Amino acid sequence: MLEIRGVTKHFLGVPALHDVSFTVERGEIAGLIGPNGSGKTTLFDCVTGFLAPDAGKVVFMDQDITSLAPYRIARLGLTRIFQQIRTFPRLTVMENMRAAGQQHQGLRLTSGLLPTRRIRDLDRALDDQAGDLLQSLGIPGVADLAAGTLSYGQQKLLEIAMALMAKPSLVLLDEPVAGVNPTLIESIKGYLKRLNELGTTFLIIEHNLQVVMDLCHRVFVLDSGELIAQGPPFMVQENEQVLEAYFGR
Amino acid sequence: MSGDPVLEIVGLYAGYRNRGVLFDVSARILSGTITAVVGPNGAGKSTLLKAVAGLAECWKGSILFKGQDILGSEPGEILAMGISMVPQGRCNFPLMTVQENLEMGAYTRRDSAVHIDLDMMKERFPVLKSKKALLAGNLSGGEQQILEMAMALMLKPSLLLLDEPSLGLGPGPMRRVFQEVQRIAAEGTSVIMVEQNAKRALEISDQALVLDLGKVWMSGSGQEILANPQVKKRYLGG
Repeated sequence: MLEIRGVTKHFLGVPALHDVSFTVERGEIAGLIGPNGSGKTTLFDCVTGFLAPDAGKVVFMDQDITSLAPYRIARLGLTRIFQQIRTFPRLTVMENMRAAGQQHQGLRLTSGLLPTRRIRDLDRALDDQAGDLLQSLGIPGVADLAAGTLSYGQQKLLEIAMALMAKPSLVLLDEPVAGVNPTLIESIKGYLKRLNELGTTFLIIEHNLQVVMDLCHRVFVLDSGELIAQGPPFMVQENEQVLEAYFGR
Repeated sequence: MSGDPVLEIVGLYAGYRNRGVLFDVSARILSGTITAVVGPNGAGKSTLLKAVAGLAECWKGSILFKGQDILGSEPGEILAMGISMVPQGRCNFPLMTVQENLEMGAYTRRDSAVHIDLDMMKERFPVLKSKKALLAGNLSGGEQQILEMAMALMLKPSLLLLDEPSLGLGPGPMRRVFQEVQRIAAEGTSVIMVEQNAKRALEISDQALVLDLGKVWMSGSGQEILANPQVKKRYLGG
């Protein structure tokens, strides 16, 4: 579904990613782990069009998306959440959710301005979907609050909900449970698993190894910008090089 | 651990503008101890730290720091009295060097001992000494967290407030950050730490508060809270 071929990225001559290649298969939950500064977020940026790789290719559903604009990639069904919060702080949670959903209805400005029945039905469907998502992600009580007034953890959950509003086929999650309460982590894990069973593919950066072990079918390990291991979670967990990179320093 | 509380919070109601977040919260923090604040997202944990630092609105109750009521004091005054805070997420100056960041930590100090303390701080955290000329933004996540704690310590606080020091850190750096927190407390600075890595935090804490919906749901020693089956189920992921 997603093919990363020889992606290389340098910042001012400093290598951040070197010749990274791997494939995410349709229907799986893949994990991307590695120590702080190993290039995980840079790789996400290259895949989603926020950075142009210096070399290499990114192919999504047989289409070359290397260096396409982020919004185009999102329209193709590949969305992401960020490590740093990116919500509209002065809009309410529900307004944030609507904004995230509306981008993908293919409406034109003129048709959006007229309160036709079709628009009303679409809006209602969007609100229902938003309500369900907020419920599933454990933050149902905050719909009318300004997003900027939520705590860090709640904004993180809002971001996941916003990424899912577009009903994407592949979602890149950058540390989805950082700052989230352990009990809520359990229910989010369950929810992501259910979404996965319904057909959504995930690529997840996460430092919480328990979450990676419980969720991921396969794990890719980056260290200093290079892919040093890949395989099922238990195998990667026992790999000497991985242990050294992740726990040793 | 002495018997005198460095901080005593009594019946505190706090929040932002017209939104209440904390309701009737009380706590006693003894000097040289680590207190963990755990609970669900949106429970009011960060707000509790902000209230102590003078960054949230408080409507009722009192916050006694070394016996003096600091409720209503300006953040700058509270800082000068000896309460430092390291907010959630990255909070250094990424385009300044490590050395300059440490100097910024001492920004409000006007005494001549700053340079001695700068040298001491670099001895105390050798990683900061070896990387003093690097831009802070180029340090690893764990190193940046340690830098931020060192910046806060430049004011020689008697109380250090840490909002999720382990956020976004891998297992190795996380372990090292928690070790530093233990060392800071052992050297006499009391620490109040909000953490979602609740198990790890409780293991190293003398005392813990479980907040939920803005109220103290339970308090006790770190071990007691850790062993409580209700807490385990509701807040620690079973």
